[in-house]
Parts: sequence; structure tokens; C-alpha cells
Amino acid sequence: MKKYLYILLIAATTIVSCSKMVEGINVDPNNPLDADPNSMLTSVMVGNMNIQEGDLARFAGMWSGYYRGYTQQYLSYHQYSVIARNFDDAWRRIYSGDYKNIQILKEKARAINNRRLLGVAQVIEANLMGTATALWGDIPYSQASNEKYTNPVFDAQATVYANLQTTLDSAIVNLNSSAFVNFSAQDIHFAGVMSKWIQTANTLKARYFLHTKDYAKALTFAQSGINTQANNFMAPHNATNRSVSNLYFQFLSLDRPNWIDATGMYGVSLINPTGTRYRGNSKTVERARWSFFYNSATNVNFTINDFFGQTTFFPMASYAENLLILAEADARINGVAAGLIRLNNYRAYMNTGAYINTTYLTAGNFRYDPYVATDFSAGGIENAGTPALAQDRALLREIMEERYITFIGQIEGFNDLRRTFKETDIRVPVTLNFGTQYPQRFIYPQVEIDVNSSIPNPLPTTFDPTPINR
Amino acid sequence: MLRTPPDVDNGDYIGKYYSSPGGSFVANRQRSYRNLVGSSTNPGFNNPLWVINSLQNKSVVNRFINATEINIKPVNWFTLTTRAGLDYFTDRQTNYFPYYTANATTGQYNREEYSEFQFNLDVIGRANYDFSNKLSGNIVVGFNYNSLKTTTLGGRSLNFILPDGPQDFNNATPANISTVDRYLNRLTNAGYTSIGLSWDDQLFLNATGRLEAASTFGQNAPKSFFYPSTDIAWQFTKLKAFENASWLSFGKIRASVGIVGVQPNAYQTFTNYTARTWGDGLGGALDPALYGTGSYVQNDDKGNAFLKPERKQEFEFGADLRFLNNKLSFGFSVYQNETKDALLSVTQAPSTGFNTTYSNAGTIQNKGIELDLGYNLIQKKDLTVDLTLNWTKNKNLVTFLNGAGSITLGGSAGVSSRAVEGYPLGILFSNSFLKDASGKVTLNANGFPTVNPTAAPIGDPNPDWRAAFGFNIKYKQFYLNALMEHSQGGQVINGTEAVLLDYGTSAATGFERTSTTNLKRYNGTTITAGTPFRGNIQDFGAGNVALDQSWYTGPGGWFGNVGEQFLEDATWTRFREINIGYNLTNNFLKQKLGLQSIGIELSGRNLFLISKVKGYDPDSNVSGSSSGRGVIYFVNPPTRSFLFTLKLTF
Repeated sequence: MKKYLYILLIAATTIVSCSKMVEGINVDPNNPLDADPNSMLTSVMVGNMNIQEGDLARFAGMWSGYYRGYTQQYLSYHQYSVIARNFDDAWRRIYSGDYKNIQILKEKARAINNRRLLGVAQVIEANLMGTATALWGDIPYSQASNEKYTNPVFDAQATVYANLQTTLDSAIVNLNSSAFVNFSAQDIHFAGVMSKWIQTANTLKARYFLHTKDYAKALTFAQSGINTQANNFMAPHNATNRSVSNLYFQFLSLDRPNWIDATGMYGVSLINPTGTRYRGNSKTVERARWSFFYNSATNVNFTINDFFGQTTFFPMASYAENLLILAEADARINGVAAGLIRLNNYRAYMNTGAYINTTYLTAGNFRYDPYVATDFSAGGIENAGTPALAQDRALLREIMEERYITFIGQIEGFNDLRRTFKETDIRVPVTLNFGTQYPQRFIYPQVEIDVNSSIPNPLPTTFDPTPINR
Repeated sequence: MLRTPPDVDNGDYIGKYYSSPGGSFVANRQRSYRNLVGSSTNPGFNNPLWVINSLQNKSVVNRFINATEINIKPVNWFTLTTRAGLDYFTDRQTNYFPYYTANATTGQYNREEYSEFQFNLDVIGRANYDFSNKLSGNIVVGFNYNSLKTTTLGGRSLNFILPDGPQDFNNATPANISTVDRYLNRLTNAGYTSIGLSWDDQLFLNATGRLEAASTFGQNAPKSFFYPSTDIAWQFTKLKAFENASWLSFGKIRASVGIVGVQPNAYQTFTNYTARTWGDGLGGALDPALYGTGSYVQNDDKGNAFLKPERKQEFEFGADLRFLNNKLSFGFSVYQNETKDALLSVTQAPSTGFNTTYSNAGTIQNKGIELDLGYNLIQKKDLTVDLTLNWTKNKNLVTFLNGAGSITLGGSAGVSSRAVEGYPLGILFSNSFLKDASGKVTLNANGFPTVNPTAAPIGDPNPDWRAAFGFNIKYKQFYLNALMEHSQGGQVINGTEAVLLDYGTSAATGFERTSTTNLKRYNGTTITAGTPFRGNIQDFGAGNVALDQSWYTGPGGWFGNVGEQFLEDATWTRFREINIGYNLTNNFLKQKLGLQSIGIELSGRNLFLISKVKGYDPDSNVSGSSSGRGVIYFVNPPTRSFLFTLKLTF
């Protein structure tokens, strides 16, 4: 009976319903289904800027003694108290935001044989994923953003670094190619100037060899790295609109005023001329640099012309960093004489004012006279403490401190602290914000824990070093 | 308002700011707790008076509804009905945020015009036939067409050129003006048939079928879906055996089984490219449109070519009984339903390249029972008194989520309401204190618990049961009725209290304590014996420690994300409604004024609430009307209202 009833019902309804009528109108009229590779480039670049300059840099900065999380969520973060969920959004921006689109862009560039565009995309990828693996250790890479894998594995950190080196090698080949469709209008970093991209690729190679403590290779590639401030790999900003302003400025001034200051922080005390740990000496005056980063003993400087100011470009790889990679690597490989020349090159650059805004470059407020080897001998001005360090270690200590100051506001500062954590004689002795343990990494985000069955087990804590730093 | 300490006067919310005595001033600065003399352009949080007096939100709705019906009855046993309906409305909204508003310190002006056009057509043929004097039947065959079209056109301007300029997009530079331009087009059609049979006015059988096709189905999904349903009812008191049974005056048992469908949202079947803005965690954003030549990238929401409707299969069995000449009535229903292919925005591992995909992912089960009891206490010529009582219990379980792990339905970073496989829908999800294998909280060297960074289900916001009691009194033309409701069990996370602990404005932190022993603070420093401090003293298991600012701004407050500390019993009882009224009818009204009746009614809604929680309504919810529930965070309480109604019937 029931069966007959259903047959009757279906027969009767089929006659009057019609699925043809509703076909083909579900294509979204508001958003396109595809975009050409040139049109994707700018967004991919801005996505990477957001990762290098945004909340990850602020976490790293609080955990590096550069500034202090003062209230609400940032007070918890400052005390190293983070939950997995705090990293969801950044992780999403990295993977489903930027990394995926870099893969699509690369594929599209390959399809039309735009080798130079492919090379640029590879440099951005290396910058993005280098930061990710430095902060999280093992990360999804070989299987990430690939439809074949629903639970991408977490590749070993050393493997990721090795892959990034290969990617950058390939990038350099592609950047040297003559096959390209012009994308200078979309290239917001270098307007299509390949020599600058090639230098950036080399500096990033050197940076990652430094991360993995392969100092010889770091030294080699830094020699082809960024060779002038004009070629710095920077995140551009201006004041025409809120969403084009420096992200630090947006956070400090517009979105979360008073959430961050610098009271009692190690970084400010090192370069504050009236601070207890002031690093100035007969050859060094830091007042200009102090004013550029901090406008008092208690706060960071985000007024106009300052590192955290509205229109200040944010460095993602710079001449300054490249000089300091050379200094550290050469000192470690070839000893005091070689390292000292490199450090003095950097000091000469600083003596021109370097990246410090000209507003602060009043004569007498900055001074970086060359050091001599005896400055690092026991009892020298850079080795006056007891017990004295060996000369080469004292030089390295000074180089690490110089790097620490140079990287104020950048993730590289946090990377250095963790890389040199076991070298207690030369590491920058940043004071703890809380408790007895230094943070050694960012923890995996809740969303990956919830959904990806390949998530490492047991989960590392904030205080577990990443594999390369163990 | 709760964000302001009680000893701060919010009264003057706007004023002139002088940077020094006798200096020049800036007019119309906002004054708030975090900006006491208006020295900053940014007030932190808006002063409540600024929100009321300085911000403007307008909405103007125009609506046009029209419906026509044509009935044709060519022969006695057949009717053809054509019903067409048209619903068109426009909604013009503007928001104006003047200079010195939080998050818009240099002004923001939004304007959006939304219009919606809906057309619905039904053509229905209905035939009746009596097979014999006991058996009769009817058949309905119908066709339905439904079209929905919406358009949104609007814009936003930021950074006003003139701080007090007109509300007009042109009071901003081109880089600070953005537009909104959206369309939606959705089409559904369906054929349906229903067959009804009745025997001797006591046994009724109905079967219906609906075959539906919609534009929102995925291109790789079946083109149309069929939804059958059947119900049967038997009024057994019509049997001879019950003819003289005065104790049972009416009895009916009924059963039904059926499937209903919910169609997917529009435009979810393809992965789009978007001009995305890269938002920064708790901070600002970078917009690629302001760089280079503008840019499009692939969205992080994955299109789904297999989208099909969600289907709910329901089985229900029940009875309606009336006893003692209809004085006492009793009804019950037991039901079980299962939603399959539930349409959910499913969380993806970002490492796969997507954040979400809207898909037929879940299976959600409900089992429940409903009981109704009614008693006619008094039934006289001028006076009737009826009492009603009902009780319901529902058990809900998410049985399958297709590997989605958990889906956030509402809440915030620290505490959320989620769908998690093996738990009821809306389960509260948060972090807890680290515990050892035996479930004991592990303490750090200072004697404080520490936060487990990984979140897990911690509480169930769904009530165990609900009940309602009401009465209805009618005396001549007066009437009085009232309804009380009770909800038993369930949990709620009091996020407001958690934040106030953090801000130090909660009453729980308003004590000055002095300890006879040295106490550790959460940050490791020591409060020496005899030194007074503000907060509390507690023993987590390793001796007394001081709960002060260091604790409450850390794990002890909202930003520590340990939701389990703020779980509260959501049981409540409320006086939902009372109505008192009078109906007037007489010949004078009828003849002189052409009025059938005049009705006057006074009503009160949500008059009082009894619950174990303090300072809020445990039934409110930060996620509004979504399926997320059980999280309180600066939620507006449900309103208490009093109404006066005058009803004239002509």
C-alpha cells in the first residue's frame, strides 16, 4: 500500500516540478572565480608583510624584552601565558591566506612561463615559511595546501629549512631569467628590479643558514646579499589611509592604545643613555637610536618619523641585517680579525645614521667609532667584566648585542635569543618577564590541533626549544 | 558602563581639551574613564553617553506586500487555486561616528541601501471523492515557484576632512572611501502531492510528497530532492465501546513520520577570489587595494560542488486525551529526529589551504518528550478558570561531524560554544587548569595552578528540562492570564564577571586583606605578613596564596582564558507574561459606531527572574540568535516591557 502511495506521489510531483529552471544562477555575481597572476601578486606581498610586521612580531617583541604587554590580553601574553587559540588567526593568514595563494601564483606564472614572477613568488614564500618554521619548529610544508592531503604532515624543521634553501636557489635562477611579463606596477617592494630581488634572496639564504648554525654558508651567501640600504626589502606604508599605515602604529595608536609600553624592558635599558645597562662607551653614543625606537625610558616611539610611526617602512630583510650576518659568521668562522672588520663596517654604516630617521641625527647624539681588537681583550672596553671572556667570545657578545638592538620590533631578535640560548657567555641576557623559564617557541594553533590528525603528539609547550635549537 | 569603575563620573562625556592652563583648546573631545581629561584623541572604550548622544544609527524601511488568490471550481469535486505573492522592501541604513569615537578617532560614516524582492507562486489542484458513505479521499497536486533577489549598495568613508562636516561620502579623500556592491539571486521550485483518506470520521491517513529543486544545490549534487511524509490519527473514542464512557470524553492517538529539507545558502558551490584585507590579530589591517594596482586572491572558504539540502527525518507518536467531560486534558508526544547532512561551515585545517567549507557535514540527533496537562477549574456562566502545565525534555547529540573536529558556533577566543562529535550541540569549549593523570590540578612552584593551552569541552549549556505553568481567568468581559517558565540545569560561562575581575571592578576583588603569613603572588613576588593588599586569599592545595591584581589579570580573569572558573548553573525561573484586559461589546457600539467590540489590555513581559547567578540573565547569550549559546560577555539583558493595547473591531 505504502509503496503504491509513494509511486503515485513521485509520479504526480515529477510532472509538475522542473529542475531546469533553477540551473546556472548560482554563480556568485559579487566575486570572481579566478584572477590572473599579476593581479594576485600585491595581495600575496601584503599578506607576507602582515606576518612579518603584525601580531607575530609583537609576540616575539614582548618575549625578547623589546617592550611590555601592559593590559588585557597582552598582559597575559607578556607573562608567556598563551593558549593555542591565540595563534589560530596568524596561522590561518600564513597557510590558507598567503601560502596557498603563493602556490597558485607560482603555478599560474609557470603556465605562462613568467620566470621572474615565479622567482619573486618563491622569495616571498621563503620569507613567509622561514618565519613560520623559525617560530613553530616542525610545520606543514611538503603536503600543505595540496588537495591530495587532508591532514598535512608536519615536516621536520631541518627539512623545511633545507627546502627553503632549494626554493631560494631556484628563485635566484628564475630571477635571472629573461622570460617575463612585466609586473613592475604590482611589485610593491622593488617595482620589478631583479637585482634587488636577487640580493634579498641571498640575504634570506644567509639568514636561514644562520638559523641552522651553518655559519660558513651564511658567510658565503651574505656576500651576495643586500649591499646598500636602498635595496632593503621593506614593507611600504603611508598615511593616506588607516589600512596602509604601519601595523605597529595601527596597534599602538589606533586599535589598542596603552596595551604596549616599554617600562622596565631590557631593550630600552640597553640604549637609554641614562639607563642602568646603557651600552654606550667612549666610542659609542646611542641617544639617536634610542630616540628612534623609544621616546622615553618607558615607552616605544610611534610618533611621526619613528620606527613604530605611521609611515615608517618596516624592514623584512635589510642591509643592516646582512652586515651583521657577515659580522657574526665571519667572527665565528675566521676569528677576531675578520669579525672585527665586519663589525666596524656595520659601525661605519651606523655612523652615517643608517636606518635612523634624520630627525634624530643631531651630531653628538650618535657615534659608532671603529673598535680595535684590544677593546675585546680582557679589560678592554668591551670585555671589562669579571670573569673576562676570551677575545673572540667578547667580540661575538658585542655582535649579538648589536644584532639584538638592530632587530628591535623584528622577529629576528627573538630568533637570535633562542639560537644563542645555550651560549650563555655571549647571548643577550634578557631578563625574564615572568616565572623561571624563557619562551622558546610559539605553540601550535587550536584549529590545527582540532582538525589535523597529523598534529605532533605530545604537543610542545612554549618552553620547549624548536629542534634546531635543542 | 561596566568597564568604568564605580567611582568615575561618566557625566561629562564631551568637552574642550586644554593641553595647558590658558593654552589653546580642541573642541568636542570625548571624555571617558580611559581618557579622563580628553588628552587623547582615542577614548579607549566609548563613554556610554557618547554612544547615546553623539553616534547616529538610522534605518528607514519601506515595505510593499501584495498577495492574490484565484479559485476556480469547474466541477463540484475539483478546485484549482492560483496564489501569487509579492514582497518588496528597502532598508536604508546610515551610521555616523564623529571624531574622537573609539575605533574611528577621525570619523566614520557608513551608508547602505538594501532591497529585497521576493516572488512566490503556487498553483494547486484539489480533488475530493467519496468512495462510500464511510470512506472519503482527497488528492492535492501543486507547483511552487519562489524567487528571491536582493541588492546591497553602499559605502563607507573614513577620516573626515571637516570634523563636523555633513554626513556625506565626499567629506573624505578618495583613498578613504570604499563601496559595497552585492547581489543575490536564488530560485526554488517544487512539485508536491498529498493524498488524504478518512474512514468514518475517526481514522485519518495523510501522505504527502514534495520534489524540490533549488539554484543553490551543488553542480555535482542530484538536481532535485524528494521529501515524503505520512501521518495517521485515530480518534478511538468514536468507537461504540466508548460511547457511554463519561470518564473519557475524547481520545486520539497519532503518529507521524516524515522528512523535511533545508536548502543550502546561495553561492557556496564555487571557490571565489576576493579582494581580501589582511587583518592583524587584535590590531589593524593592511589592504592590498591601497597598494600597487589592487589585487585578488583565492578565498579561504572552499566552494562545495556537492552541496545538497540538509534533511531532517522525524518520527513522532502521541496522544490527546480529555477526561471528565473535557474538564481535564492530557497530551503527550515522544519524538526522535535526526538531521542528516546538516549544513555547517566546517572548520578546515588551515594547512590544507582553507579555513572553512560550507558542507553537508553533520548528523545531529534529538530525542524528547513533551507533556501537557490542562484543568478547567471553574466553568460557570460568568467565570472560567483554566490551569495549564507543560513539561518538556530534549536530549541532543552531535553524532557525526565528518572529521571536522569541532565547529565554533559562537563565543570568543577563550570560551566558545561549539559543535563537537559525541557532545550536545553548543557544548562550551574552553581552557582549563593543567591537571595530572588523576585529575588533580598541578600547581607551579608558587602554589598557583597553570593554564592548559589546549582547549576542550568543559560544560553543557543545554537545560535538563523545561516547564511552564499558566492560568487563564475570565470573568464576564474581564480576563486575566499569566505564564511562568522554568528551565532546569545547563551551564553558562559568565564572561562579564571574568572581565570585571580583570579590570578590578568586580565586587569579588573589593576586599582589603591582611595575612598573618607571607603570601606568594601569582607573579612570584611575596606579600609580607601584615601588609594589606586588595584581593583574596586562597589555598589551591599548596598553602595560602594571594589572589590580587597579578592573578586576576592573569589566569584568574577573562584574559587567562580558563573558562571553567566561570561556569555557573543556568537554572532559571521567570514570570514570562501577564495580561489583563476587558472586552466591551454592546448594541450602542454596533449601531451608532459600527464597532463590533472594543478591547483594552495591559500586559507585562519578563517581569521577574529567579536564578542562582548574579547580575545577568542566564538565558541571554553573546552570540545572539545563532546556535551558539551559554556564553555571557557584556550582553544586553532581555527587556522587561509593559504594553497597553487598544483593539477596535469593526
